[in-house]
Amino acid sequence: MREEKLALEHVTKQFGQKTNLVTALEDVSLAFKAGEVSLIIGPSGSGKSTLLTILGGLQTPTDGSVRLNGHDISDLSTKEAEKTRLEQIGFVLQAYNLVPYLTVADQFKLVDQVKPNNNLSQDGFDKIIETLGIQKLLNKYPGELSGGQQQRVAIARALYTDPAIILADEPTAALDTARVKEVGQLFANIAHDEEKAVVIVTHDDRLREFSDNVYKIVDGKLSNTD
Amino acid sequence: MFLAIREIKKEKLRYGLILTVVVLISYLIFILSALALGLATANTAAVDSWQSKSFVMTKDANGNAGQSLLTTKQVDQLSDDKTATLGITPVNMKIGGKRESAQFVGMNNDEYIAKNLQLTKGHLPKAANEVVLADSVDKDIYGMGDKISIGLSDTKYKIVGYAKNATYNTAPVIYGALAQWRVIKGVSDQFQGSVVTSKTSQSVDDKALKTYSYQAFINKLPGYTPQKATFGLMIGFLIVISLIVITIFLYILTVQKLPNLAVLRAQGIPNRFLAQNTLFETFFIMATGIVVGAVLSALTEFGIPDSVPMAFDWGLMGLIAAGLMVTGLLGAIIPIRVISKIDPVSVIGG
Repeated sequence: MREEKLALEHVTKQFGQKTNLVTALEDVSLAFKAGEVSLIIGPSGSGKSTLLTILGGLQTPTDGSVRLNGHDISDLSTKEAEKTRLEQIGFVLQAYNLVPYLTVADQFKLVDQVKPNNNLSQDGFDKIIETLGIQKLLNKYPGELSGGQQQRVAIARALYTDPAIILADEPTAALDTARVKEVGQLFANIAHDEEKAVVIVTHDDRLREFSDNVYKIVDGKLSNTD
Repeated sequence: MFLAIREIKKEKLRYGLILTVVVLISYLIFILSALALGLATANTAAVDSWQSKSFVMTKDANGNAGQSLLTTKQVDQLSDDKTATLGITPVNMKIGGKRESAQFVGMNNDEYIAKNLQLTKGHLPKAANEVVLADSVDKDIYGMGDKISIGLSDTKYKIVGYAKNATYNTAPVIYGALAQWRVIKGVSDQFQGSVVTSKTSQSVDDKALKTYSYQAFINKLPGYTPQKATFGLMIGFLIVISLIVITIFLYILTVQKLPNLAVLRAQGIPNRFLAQNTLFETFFIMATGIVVGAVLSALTEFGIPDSVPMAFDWGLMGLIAAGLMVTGLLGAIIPIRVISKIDPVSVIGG
């Protein structure tokens, strides 16, 4: 039985009031387990980004609860939520993942500045950058990298804090099919080899083959497509 | 600091431009301050060298020593062993075909001002036709032993020495015998001098007279107060402009970085860390700009002609530098506020 890392229980998220009330998520319950890649697919405006922000502690649910490693994180203060994200969640976003004026090596040193402990060991780091094929990119700036290289660095950066969960927002939006396969395989390897829970929010059906669970979200309601 | 140093290193052109603006502003402020101080010193150097606490003149002179005429009786009433009587009048001094504005200061050699006069060369006037000139005069024109004409007097006065810090109201001072003041100014024997100075505070009963403190006397020097106010305003405006400029630059830089900063916030990088970096960035820009501006100002002093009064007071420069630094750091408040308001959710989805 795989360990549950992150779970939503009857989560509802509403914006606005009265006549302007919009329900972005409605009574969503699901759990993400270590060693699994979960895909959340849905059209624009379906609520998948809202779901990701709630999973990442960037927003709090209107109703329901979010559990991270068994602890309720639905109502954390800004500072506590920041600490939780830094220590337990690795974000991989569609763009702006990397700080443009930092070399690839410095992207990791930045993490050391704010979280000096419990990051990957030198061996762990060497293994990750080798797996991701970015050893030779350490002295380059993001502007000197291709889209695929940038995403690989972003994934390494997200893994550097040794988080329990990887949350990815449209990580393949700007990539061609070959790169999508490359990135999809990477996420699958990370989940299976590193025992991480990987949650990917995407439009991209090409990632299905690398996932263990696929959820569909439409108008804020979730359904399992498996 | 980590982000700031690397950003400045990577974006050399961008930060170079900001730095150039700060250098130019601080340079301008330092030069203006040096000019203001130089002008103020040229106004007051002689008065400062007298080390007097109070000055008594006729009320009608309105604080202008050149307009004051004290009678013998008034001088006698005011005089004691701590006072000195001076006869001050603006004059032209002539030698050959040259003519220059100056201030004649007649004094008694047995009083404290003459006794304390610091000479760089020569001796105090011993005879009625001997004078000591300001050390700042062109000695190729006004050489030791040369004879000059002063004001309305027919006497040719021999230069017997040069005095340090001897400018009054921006003109060089000619120190001579008090008795010669009457001759040069063309006033009758009933007047003994224009001002009685004292090393202590003086009070007068005579309603025709008025006592001025050192500062009041300085402030009454013709043109001194408006000059000071003008320079003060210019320097003040420049400091405010530097505040606006640094705020605008930092704001634009911050706004350009917002998506990256939002991602960093989403990744859990604390707000405090990002704010500290902005503050350090500002400190670095301001400190470098101020130091370079100060060095340029000091170098400029060598290229400025002697006719332009310029004086550097490192204490004052330090105060101005501190003022600039504080305004620069104040300029970081708005960008820091922008950073604190970043919503990390803005970079997710769309």
